[in-house]
Amino acid sequence: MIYVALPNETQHRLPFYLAMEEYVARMLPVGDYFFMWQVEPSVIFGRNQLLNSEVDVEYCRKNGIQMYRRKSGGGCVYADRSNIMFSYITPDSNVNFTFNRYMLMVEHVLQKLGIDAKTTGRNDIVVDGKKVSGNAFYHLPERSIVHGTMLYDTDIERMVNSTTPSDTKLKSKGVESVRQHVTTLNKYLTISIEEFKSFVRENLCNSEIILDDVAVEQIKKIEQEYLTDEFIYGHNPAYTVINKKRIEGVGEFEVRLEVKKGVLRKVNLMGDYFLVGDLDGELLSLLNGVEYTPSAVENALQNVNTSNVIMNLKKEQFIKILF
Amino acid sequence: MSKIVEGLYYAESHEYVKIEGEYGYVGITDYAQHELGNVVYVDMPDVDDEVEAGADFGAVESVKAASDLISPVSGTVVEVNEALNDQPELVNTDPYANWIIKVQLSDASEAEKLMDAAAYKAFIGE
Repeated sequence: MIYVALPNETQHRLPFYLAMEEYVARMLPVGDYFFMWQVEPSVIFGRNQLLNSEVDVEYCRKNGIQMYRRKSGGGCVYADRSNIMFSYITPDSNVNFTFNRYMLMVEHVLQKLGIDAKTTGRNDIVVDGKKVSGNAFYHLPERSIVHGTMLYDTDIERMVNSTTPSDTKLKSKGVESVRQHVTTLNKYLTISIEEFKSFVRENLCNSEIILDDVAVEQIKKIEQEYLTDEFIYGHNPAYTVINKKRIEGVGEFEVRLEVKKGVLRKVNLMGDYFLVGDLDGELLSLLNGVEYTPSAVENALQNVNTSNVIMNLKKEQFIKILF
Repeated sequence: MSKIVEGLYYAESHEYVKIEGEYGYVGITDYAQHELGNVVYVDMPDVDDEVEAGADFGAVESVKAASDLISPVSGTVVEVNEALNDQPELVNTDPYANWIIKVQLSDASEAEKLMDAAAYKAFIGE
């Protein structure tokens, strides 16, 4: 296998390395490639995950933890400089075959260091039943990218806090993470993180290619897509919001909102309120296709008198139920 | 052995297109769904989006991998298979009945560059 190195020691943001994988997959001659990278604290969620149901966005913002989406499938992970990221690029396209072969290679390297590492069916490597490595697969037309974490050490508290969503009212139609107990390799090793990386590299790779500055510029171009709000936030799968509220003198409400790409698609309202008008025709159907923000909803209901539909319900009360 | 349907056109990236007049129904082949395993999410474009032959227009995610969807034809998306939002596993059950997007073709002759059933059968080595 060929190790892919960068021309200098410059540190990059996480999407640079995802772009580097794509560059290797799309531009380099057919072959098996591998490289390792480390980043400042970041969370990375899967291609089809809903940011807010995977990540504590506020905690991440407060603590300077960056948030990125990747193009491979699977769940959300936390990375910092002591969680080593592995990238493997191969022309093999059979998903199971490629995955298994790669996982066994990595498992074998850990075993050589005396660690009782085992691959699980869910694309993880565990030690003592606890996860040290989670892996994901991105299948391009003629190449496959497998990448994963390798927890040498990490700030577990930050990992747990950043990947525990604060907003639990959301039900994603996309892919949900499987939360597991983790452990770190430094508990089983006496060698340093740099020594560990060298060992991995020597055992997996027998040659090296050093990318030049032109390649780095091309990688930065690919990286742009990963940095856009459209990719990070706009790519969220559809989700359902369920809100329950009691309004004194009106009744109990339970609303279910289906949101796709930030726009309301379906609104259901249940409860013990007293109906005096046509709920769907005069109220709920007006919200279809409206942006899911208080101001857009208010705008859409400009000419509606909500108390003509539900007895005693004021418009601002109705809007509060939705958000 | 993968199911291959006569009369469809096939791309090397394992999408098919079924041509009906000025429309093409695009999905992934039985071979592709088998390679990917249980599908858990289909990332589809919006109606009115443009697709271009050879360019990606979404992705299929299985329990193992996310795979780019490459359009075999160019044109405008006129319909997406909404059923896949709630039941992505339909792609596994019958990938040919459960197309992903319906495209109004901008150049019907593009299909001629694709493989027919026999050529695709040879391509996947069956």
